[in-house]
Amino acid sequence: MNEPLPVTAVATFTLTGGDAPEPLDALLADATDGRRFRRINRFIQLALIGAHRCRRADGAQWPARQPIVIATGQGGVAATAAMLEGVVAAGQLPMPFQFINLVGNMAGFHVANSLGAVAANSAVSRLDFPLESALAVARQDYAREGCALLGAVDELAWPLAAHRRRLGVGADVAVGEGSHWLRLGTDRPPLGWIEDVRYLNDDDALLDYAKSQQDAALICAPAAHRRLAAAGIDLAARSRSASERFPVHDTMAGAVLCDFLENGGGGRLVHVSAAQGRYAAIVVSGA
Amino acid sequence: MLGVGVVSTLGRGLAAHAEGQGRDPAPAARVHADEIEPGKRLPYRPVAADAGFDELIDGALSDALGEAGLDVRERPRVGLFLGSSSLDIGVCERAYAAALAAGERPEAAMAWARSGYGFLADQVARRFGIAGPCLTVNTACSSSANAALYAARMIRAGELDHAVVLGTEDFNRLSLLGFASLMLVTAEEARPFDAARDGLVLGEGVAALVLGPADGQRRFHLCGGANVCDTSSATNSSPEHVAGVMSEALTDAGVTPQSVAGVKAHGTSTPSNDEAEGRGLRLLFGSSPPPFTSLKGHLGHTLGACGAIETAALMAALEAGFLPATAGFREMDPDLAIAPLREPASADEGFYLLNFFGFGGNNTSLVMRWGR
Repeated sequence: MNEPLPVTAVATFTLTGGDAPEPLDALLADATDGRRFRRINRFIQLALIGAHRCRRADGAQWPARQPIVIATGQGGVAATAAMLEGVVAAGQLPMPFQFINLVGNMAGFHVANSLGAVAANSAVSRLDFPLESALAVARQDYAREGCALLGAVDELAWPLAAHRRRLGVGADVAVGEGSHWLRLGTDRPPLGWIEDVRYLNDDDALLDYAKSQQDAALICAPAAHRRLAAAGIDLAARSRSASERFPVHDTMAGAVLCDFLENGGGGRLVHVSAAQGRYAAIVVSGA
Repeated sequence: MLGVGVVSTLGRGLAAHAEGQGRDPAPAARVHADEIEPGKRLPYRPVAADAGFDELIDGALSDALGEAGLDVRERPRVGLFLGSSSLDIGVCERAYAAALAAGERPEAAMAWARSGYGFLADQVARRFGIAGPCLTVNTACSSSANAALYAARMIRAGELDHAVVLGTEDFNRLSLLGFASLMLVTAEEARPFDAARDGLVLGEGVAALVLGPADGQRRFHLCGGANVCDTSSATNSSPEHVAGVMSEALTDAGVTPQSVAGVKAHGTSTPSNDEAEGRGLRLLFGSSPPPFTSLKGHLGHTLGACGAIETAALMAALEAGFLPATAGFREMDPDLAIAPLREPASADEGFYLLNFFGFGGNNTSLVMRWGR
């Protein structure tokens, strides 16, 4: 097990998918004190809102040498799909800045630019476990610089029926988008710590792990919750499905962690993501 | 580096890449760009093999794992670090086009099944039984270089024993037309650092690098590197930042500029990249930099895969005893007053600096040692 990562600030927001995208301009202006950003897409807007809210929540001057890692499951999927439809179905040339904005790190660029960060900058993913994989990169950056800013960002793409297929969820599942940010550092008293990330390769490993975490609350992706609930009342009583509180998106784990730390949760929380019989657990503890 | 596999326009394997880089490149293929204007053709460097994207990946990965000697019993503890800018967009593009051609009316592109940035790596890991950490890095043209950087750091930190770094670029019209819309694609051939350079030629390919603990038997070692975001521009690097990331990479590897035996430049052949990189080289090395070259005249610009592909191609050339000439370079740019290799040069064992720069100011330099 690695050294716990101290979290000095968090910010999180989630939007549930409705009939159409909810405008973000006012949220962005509020988060960034009216700063203007040109030629950015929705995914970048989501990232900027979360990162600047985290900056505001921290309240301290952040160093320029602060690496930024963005976890995402789908990236700028709405713009990518729209551009693909334009190229393939309509034979249209992509617009230059729309094309540039497709690269996964462009949100990180705008976050770095607006925060004055000149350091490592990456966008990281893993199918079903994007935040968990990005934590591994953030840990490396934190070890080198003593701080890091980790964002977990996913957007919705309409029509939602198509987006549900991308996420692998049914028509009755509420899907959403969100931007969840954690700042790692030692220059302020921490809100809490990310203690561990553990990959569990089958149901037995999940059950054994859950049993070993008797003092922790469990919040799980629906599939993991069902598996634990089926295993016994004791476990089910202290576990909840993350989808009871948050609309489903690939980086929903970020919402759970930030919510726990933001609301002063004491004790320990284990979040379990699930995918096709495999699981990943993130353990976080409050200060 | 315990094993290498590479498939590109030059063929499959290190021997094909050594041979290909030792001679003048064949003219680039031409692909239609009727979206720009009817009859328009753009240069492109495709993989010659008549194989699908998965087959290219499997070929390169099988070669790398075979050379590394990692059999199926060890793979559950191996990490996979995939770096790509376009990921499986080509597959999605073809599927969408096929659906339209079949008279279907898909409600959206990329909407058939589970998808996401991590989908491609997940599929590869399942096919090969790789069950360690499985990361996808998407940082434009520095993607697979950053994948290598973080894989090496995790190995060094003792977090895993072995990692496969996989760089992939599959032909897709979105990238071709996107770069064309930015006026960054030449009408003819790439001419990195040349006074008359006017744009890049895209290419496709796959490379796999198996990284593991140094055992004293290997000829190539990834010694360090750095990734720094240049926030001065989303599309153009500044010379100061280019010099800065190279300097940081050398410091990370414990190497002085004077110890660098050669530089594999990013060298895209676009006016702005080569100007920034040329000036950056002068800032770091002065007026007499070590021999430097760009491989993109041979390989095309393989975007996020270039970190792995160009590392593999450089290894191939060095093992064959030479540093490749910069294909397409003819006349020094008087504003840069710096020239890459015009002819293949005899290569010395030592430290090599490899540059990879991407949109979003994502600049990465790696330091590789050749020799035991």
